Amino acid sequence: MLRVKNLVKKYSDLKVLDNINFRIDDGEVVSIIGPNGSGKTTLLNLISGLDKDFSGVINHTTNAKFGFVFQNSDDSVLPWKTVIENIHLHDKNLDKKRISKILRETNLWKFRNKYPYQLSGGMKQLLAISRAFIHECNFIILDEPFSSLDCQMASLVRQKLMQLYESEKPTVIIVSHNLDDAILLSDRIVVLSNRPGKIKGVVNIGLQRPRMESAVLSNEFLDYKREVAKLI
Amino acid sequence: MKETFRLSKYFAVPAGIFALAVIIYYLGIFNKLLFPNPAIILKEFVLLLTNKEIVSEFGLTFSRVLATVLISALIGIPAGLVLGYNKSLYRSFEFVIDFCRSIPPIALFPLFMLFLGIGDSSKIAYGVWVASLVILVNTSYGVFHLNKAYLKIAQVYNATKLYLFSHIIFPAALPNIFAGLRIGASLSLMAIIVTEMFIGSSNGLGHAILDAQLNYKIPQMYAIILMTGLMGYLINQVLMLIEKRTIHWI
Repeated sequence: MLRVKNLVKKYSDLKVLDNINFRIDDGEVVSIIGPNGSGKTTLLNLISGLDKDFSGVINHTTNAKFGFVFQNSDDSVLPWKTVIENIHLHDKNLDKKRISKILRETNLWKFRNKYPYQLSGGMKQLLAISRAFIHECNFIILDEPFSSLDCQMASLVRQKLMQLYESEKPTVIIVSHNLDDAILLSDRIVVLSNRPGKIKGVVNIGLQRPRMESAVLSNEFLDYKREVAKLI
Repeated sequence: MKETFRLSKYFAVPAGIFALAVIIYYLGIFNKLLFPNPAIILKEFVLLLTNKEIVSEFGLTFSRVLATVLISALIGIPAGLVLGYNKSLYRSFEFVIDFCRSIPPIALFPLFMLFLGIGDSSKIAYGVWVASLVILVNTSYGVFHLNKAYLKIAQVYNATKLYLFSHIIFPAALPNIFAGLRIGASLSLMAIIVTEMFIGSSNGLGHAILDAQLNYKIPQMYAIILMTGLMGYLINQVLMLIEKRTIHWI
């Protein structure tokens, strides 16, 4: 569980986030959307503990373990390490069966000894997602993970993420500019205002899981899209 | 055919420079004693390659340069990594580093001679002074400008400090480290050659250049100068080869 209370973030005199309050339950998928400069990435950095300079309260489960997937696929992986080395990082004691299972699910097993420059952008994002699941992270944070991918690759990465999520149910927090991605993946969508980012509204997404990509064509989906669009 | 074209492109400029030097020689623009026939210099150069005495001087200078580069790397790289990681520490040292870099190096050699004598130690220590600062600054800049996302990965997955430095910061800074090493190697060669020309020095290519000049063996002097160029070129090529193999992801 993650609880954010009265969160304020400033960069010297510039207020980036103002009085943010929300709660995310274990296993929930929450998307944060908002205009450029609304503090979405800053919020992710604060939640994951990468930035500890803030006022307010961020509480999460005591054994919280974070996995991070960046917007740019080249940022998400270390280019001088092979796929398998990128999975392990410093931890040599990861469960080998789990590594094999997840890498097979994401079609990366046969590339395990390749370097990131031998992979496509989508495969690099899948590698970062796989790493988060293999390390059994209970919070997986994705900062616009599909924005640097073409639509076919984005769809593949989305599908694999949904598959892995359904089998493991970690808490997932996604920053996205794409309403379809946000609605398709999330249980809730938090909409931020212009700088300083404040919560403009929260939309609960009641689409049934597991969700198929074809759900974007349903009337229910379009209703949610209208509801979120009104808030933006 | 393609290979011949590639090679001809590679040698076209040196051949052009050689031809220009021959023309200048035959036009008699400079005193022919001071600017001998380039063909004679080239012949002298080839002869020197089989001259045991000069080859041994070449080896001596090369070993001094190698020792200088290795010691400079051992000092400059770790210090650069630490200072680059801790920007406020770098700021504390910045004035001292920039001040030391601003002192014309040659002005310091008498000081090195005073403390370490005229043997190898003063030459190598002087070379290390010149090269290690360049390697340190380049390494620090490599760390300053590394992709911050890599540091976030390490932080999020709770990597140890040792892993952070050896597996993330060091490889990410490698392009800058190699740039520093290549500049440092060139400066080391320059420093060693200069120190070999000082009074009291009795060997090395620098001494051989001065000796040839004092004895008016002008073609030999030019040929030895070409040898120092060859040494610098070879060191640079070897470093570039190692760089290409090491930084395979770029």
